[in-house]
Formats: sequence, C-alpha cells, structure tokens
Amino acid sequence: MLGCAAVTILVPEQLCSEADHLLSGSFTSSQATYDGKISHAVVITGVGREFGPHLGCINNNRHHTRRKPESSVWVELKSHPHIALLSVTMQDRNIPLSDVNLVIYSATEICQSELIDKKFPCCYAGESDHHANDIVPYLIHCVQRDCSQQIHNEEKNMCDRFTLCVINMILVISWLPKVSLQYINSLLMSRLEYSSTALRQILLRISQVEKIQEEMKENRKILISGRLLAMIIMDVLAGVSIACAISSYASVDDIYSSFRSCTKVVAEGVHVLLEWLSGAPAGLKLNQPLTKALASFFSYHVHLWRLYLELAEPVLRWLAWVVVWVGACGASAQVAVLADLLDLATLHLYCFYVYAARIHMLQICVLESQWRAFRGRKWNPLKQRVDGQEGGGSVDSLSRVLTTVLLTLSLFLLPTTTVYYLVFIMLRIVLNVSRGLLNLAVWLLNINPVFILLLSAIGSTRIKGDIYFASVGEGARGSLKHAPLTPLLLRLHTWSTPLNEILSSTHIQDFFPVRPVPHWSYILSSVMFGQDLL
Amino acid sequence: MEKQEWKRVLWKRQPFPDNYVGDSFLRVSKKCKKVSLSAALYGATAVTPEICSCLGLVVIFYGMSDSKMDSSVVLTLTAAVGIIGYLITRDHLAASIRNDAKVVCFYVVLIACVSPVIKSLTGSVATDSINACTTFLLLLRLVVHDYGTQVAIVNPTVSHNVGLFASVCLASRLDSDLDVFTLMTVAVALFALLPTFRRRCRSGLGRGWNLVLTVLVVGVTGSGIIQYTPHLLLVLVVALLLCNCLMPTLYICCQGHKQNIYGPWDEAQIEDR
Repeated sequence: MLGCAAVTILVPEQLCSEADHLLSGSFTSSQATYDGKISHAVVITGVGREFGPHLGCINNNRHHTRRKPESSVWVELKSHPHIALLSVTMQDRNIPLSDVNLVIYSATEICQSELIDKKFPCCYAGESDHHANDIVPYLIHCVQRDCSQQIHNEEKNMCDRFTLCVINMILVISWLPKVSLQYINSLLMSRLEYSSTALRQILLRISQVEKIQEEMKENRKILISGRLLAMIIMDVLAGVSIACAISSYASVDDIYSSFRSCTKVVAEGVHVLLEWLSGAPAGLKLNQPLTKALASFFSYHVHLWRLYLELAEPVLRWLAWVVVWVGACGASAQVAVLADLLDLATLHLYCFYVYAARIHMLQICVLESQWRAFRGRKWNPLKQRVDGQEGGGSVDSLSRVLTTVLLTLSLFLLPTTTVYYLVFIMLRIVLNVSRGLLNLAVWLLNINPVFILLLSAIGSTRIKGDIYFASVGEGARGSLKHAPLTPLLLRLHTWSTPLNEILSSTHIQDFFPVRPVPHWSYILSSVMFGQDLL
Repeated sequence: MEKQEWKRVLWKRQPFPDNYVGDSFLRVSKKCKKVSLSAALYGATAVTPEICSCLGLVVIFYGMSDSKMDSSVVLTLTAAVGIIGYLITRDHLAASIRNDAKVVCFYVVLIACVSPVIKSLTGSVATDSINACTTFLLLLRLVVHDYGTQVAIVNPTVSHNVGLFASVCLASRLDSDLDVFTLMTVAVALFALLPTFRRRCRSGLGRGWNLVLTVLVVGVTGSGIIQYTPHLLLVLVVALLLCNCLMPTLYICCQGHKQNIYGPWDEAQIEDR
C-alpha cells in the first residue's frame, strides 16, 4: 500500500494521447492486518481490446460514460494533454480522489526487462491470493503475463528463425560425434581415471549450443542465450584466426617436426638429470649402489619412451593437424587440445613420479611402524591409538631383529630416495601448474561476458532489474486549493542491475567449465606421505 | 599411667583425652629400605657382564676389520656356544625344537640376505660420526637394559633394538659379506640371547657361582682387549671401577639422606599392570 490511500491505480504511459477506448487490466484488494482497512490495487494493462474484463475508459470529451454493469471497478481517465484521473468507482461507491494514488509506469520497460521478476518475485498460486500490499510484484506479474499473451499471438521474426535453423543444423551434424566422444570420455574416466580437457571442452560446447536452442525456442529471454552465442562466436573467430595464422606461417609437417624435436630435447634433459643424480647431486652424498640402480632403471624407462614415440608417429602427425584445425570449434578447444598434448608428451615423467611416490610412501610407512615397534609400542586398531607393550612380552626376538634391520635400512636409505622423490615431484608440480594455467585460459575464454558488457554499455532495458518511484512535479498544474483533492501522482522508473549480479544470474553452472582452484591440503598431504597422487 | 598404646579406633574406650595425637596417628610409612654394602656390591655385578658384552662386540669388530681375526672361526665359535647354551636351557623353553629350528633358519636367511645391503649402507658417512653414534647407542643400551629391577626407565625392547642398531652401524664399516654376517650373528647372540641366559643363571645359581661367572667374563673380555684393541683397556678399567666400586659406595653413602615419607596425603598410584 502506498501511503495511506485506499486505491492505487497503475497506468501505462503509452495511454498518453490515446483516443477514447475501453481500458482492460486486473485488480485486487486485501485487508491490512493491523487496522482492518481494505486497500485496492488496479493495474491497467491494455487499451482498446475487445475481450477481457474492462475496468474503465478514457473519457476525453466528458460525455456520458458507458459503464459496464458486471465490473466492480470503474476508472475514468483523461489522456489529453497529460494522463489525469477523472473518477474512480468501486463497488458502486465513488472514491474521493484524494484517497487515490496514480502511478504511471512504462509498459515496454517492464515487459522487456528480464531480471525484474527475479528481484520482485510474485510467488502466489492463484489470483485470489494476491495482496494489494505487494503492489510492485503484482504489477510486474500482470504486465508480464499480458505481454506474453500478446507475444503468443505474434510470429517470430526472420532473424530468429534463421538463427534457429542454423543451430538445429549444427546440432544434427554434431549428434554422432557427440555420442562417440561421450563414450570415449566415459571409457577414459572409468579405465584410466584420466579426464581429457579437450573432450570435456568439445562436449561442453555442444551442450552450450543445445542450451541456446532451448532458450530461443521457449521465450523471449535473450540474456543467457545471447551471452552464450556471443561467447561462442568470439571463440570460434579467435580459433579460426589462430589456425589461419599458424598455417600461413608453417605447414603441418613443420609443426610435427618441431614437436618431435621438443620431445627429443625433453628426453635428453631427463637423461642428463639422471646422470647428475647418480653422481653426487648438489654435493649430497647418496648411497652409491642404490642411486646407481635407480638411475639405470629410470634411464631404461626413458629409452622405452623414445621407442614409444617413434612407434606412435602417425598418430602424433594426425594430432598436430587436429590441434590447428580444431580451432573451428573455438580457441578454447585449441588450448584444451594443447593441454592434453602436454599430458601425452610428459607421460614418462608422470610414470617416474608415480614410482618415486610409491617408494616414498612405502618408506614412510615402514619408518613410522618400525619406529613405533622400536620403542616397544604398537598401533591398536580397535581403539585407534598407540599402545605400550607392558602387558605383551610375547614379542619374540625374531620380530625385534626384523624391526631393527628394517628401521636401519629405511633410515639410511631415506636421503637417497628422498632426493629422487623431490626431483620428480618438482617436475610434476611444474607440469601441473602449466596444465592449471591452460585450464584457466579455457575457463576465461568460456565465461566471456562481452554480451552483458555491451548491453550495460548501451543501457538496454533488458538488464533493468530495479525499481524506484519518483513524484511528478505538480507545480504547473492546479493551484494550491485543489491540492487536497488531486490524487498522488507518481512515476515508476527502472534502474539497471549491477554488473556482477547480472553475471552471476546468467552463469548457469552446468554450461560453463569449473574454475581451476588448487586444493592446498590435498597437495600438502600428497607431498608428505605420497599416498594420494598429484 | 598410660601403658597401653593408643589405637586409632573409635569403638574402644581408651584412657586418652579426645585430642590426643599418638605416634601411629598419621599412618606414615617410611619407604627407605636400608641396603647393605655387600648387597649393593653384589647388585652392581649385574651390570658388569653387559659392559663386557658391549666391549666384546667392539673388540670383535676391530679384530675383523684389521683382519687379525678369522670370521669363519668366530662364526663357528658363536654357533657352538649358542648350541651349548640352548641345550642347557632347553627344559625351560616353551616352544618345541621344530619351532626353534625354524626361527634359527629364518635368522640366518634374513641376515644373509641383508648383509650385502648393510655393507654399503654408510659409505657416505664419516668414520668419526659412526664411532660417536655407536658409543652413544651402546651407552643407551646399558642405561635402559633390564637388570631385574622394576624402574620406569627400563625398556627391554629399546635396549635390545638399540644394541642391534649399533651393531648394524659397526657392521656397515666392514669389507666382506662374511664379515658382516659374522658380526651380525655375534651381535644377535650377545644382545638377544645372552641376556636371557644370564638372567636365568642369576636367578638359578647361588651368589658364589654368579661371582665366579662374572670374573670369568671380565677375564675373557680383558684378554680380548689386550690382544686386539689395547686402546680400549683404559675404557674397560674405568668402566669397571665406576660401576663396581664407585657407584655402590656412593649409593650407600647417600642412602642416609633419603627420607621419603608416604602417607594418605599422597596421590593414588595406579598400578598399570
């Protein structure tokens, strides 16, 4: 309820300078709980319609009114030169004009705004539950319902139809690749526990196109579909331009041979590293037999890796071609394929890290348990605590000898294995950081908010989500002695929602990739104990 | 007139006034048991064989690393002594002969497999560090060994394991696999099997026989030191004097200053058995 008036009438400003027609709309009333006064709200949504409940008429010429007997509310307005209220009749009672609020609103703004019903939600089930105390949600609900009824009767324009056609075609073409890629993705996840960034990105792109199609078919909301469409177009343009730039500088063969020389350099570097470790790295004195054994084991592994690269030559050649021309799906797909290629190229380093981590975990486990046994304690799994061995005494000398031997061996071999573990975990962390950066680039390319920024820059009505009332100046009209008899004249303005709220409301979780965030506790526990792998 | 003793009871009519405080009022127990000099000296002889075992290990190590001792001779000697000891105490052992044979086999296999690894274990550590480490570990072993008393510091597991740790440190300095194997076997015999044998002897035989055995052990160790490591002779003499002469007299002298009174005001002692 606005002020203490009994009736609030909301009138669209499009009525200004309209001819004499009947007005249609809806009204509601409710009783205030504290003093029992009944307040009414009347929303005028249309003029000159033949059907629908008629609530009043525009009466510019002051001739005799044709009052419809079935309506309990009758409003008479004047539309020349400004909108003014002539009379209000409620249930056969004439309401004094000083008890009435007249609010002028802009129907187009409220119709087109897509965020306003999020801020003023009208959560009522039926008409009879409406409360006149919540005027603004009721207004928005009536106007938007009226708008959508009007739109149902209109046809889509050519532009929309063409876009929908193109999108349908794209979805039909990509149905088979989508199914096969989903199958491959699930296979990789279940068997090898490897989530391929490139496959995820391509599947995400297809689901984004599906979402666009769904949004465009349903309603007139263009925020989400426009954001996704603008993002996809920018991405594809960037990817195609990168592909053209790369292919104008070098052919696919050149790319492949540079990739091969890169991997050769990496293998040589690992070899040199292993040689360094088997000597006295950084002046540390390592256990010679052990370090020689480990270094020769890893070198043999590098040799196997080189063999594998030579065997997989045709596949890699095809992959190089794919990296360049997958730009048709967007620059984010290119970056994702690059991330996957990085994983493939450093597979042997991942193997080394796994071996070193497992040895480290074994050593830490043995050290911990044997250190406890050394002091005569043991772990009680029932009570989940460490117990002394006072009442035991059943430990015979053999297990004590075994404990001592194991502890001594682990303790003296610890520096050597720790050095190897540290080296390989550093390499692994570097690779993970670079992979995280590439994932971040993919994420940034996908959450491109350029459409929303454009809308807010031109001040479009679609992003107006807030409302404020302003009083219309009365100075020029009417003198002071008429003031108590005129209704309170207000104007409803809309206001843009802040940018971050628009971005967060159009950010649907399923259709955007997850932001890469490092889990520090997992990383630390993995480094210390070697149980979970990075 | 008050010839009868005051008793701490309420149901008896006693001729004392109500606020009389008698000697037995506080239920004080004096916890010092006076120990005589001979008992202290005899008790100190329990530590002596342990000192001799530790020094014996070092002597054997030096003998083998200087190639003055033949490792196969040492090995056969240890095996013979072990079998003799086993035969003597066979009646008291709970396990069957088969189990013991299995245990021995396991020992042999384990130490034989681990010997080559131990040989190269401390290649990168300096000799001085090894010597210091071994000394410290053997001292620790002597401190926490179970000599038959019930004191909180006693931890038989730690003493046994630390002794073996020290012997692994020493054995890693030797050159051939057989030497390492021998030293490890000797260490197991000295630190794992001999203490139980000694404990049984001490409780089984009388005072006289125990003293004779102790003197025998000291003599064998002394001769070994003189022959192979003369520089440790001073250590042996000082340790024996300290342990057998100085410490008991000091204990007896200071005994008089110990005045522990335990009464009902003390915290309850929970027996952790």
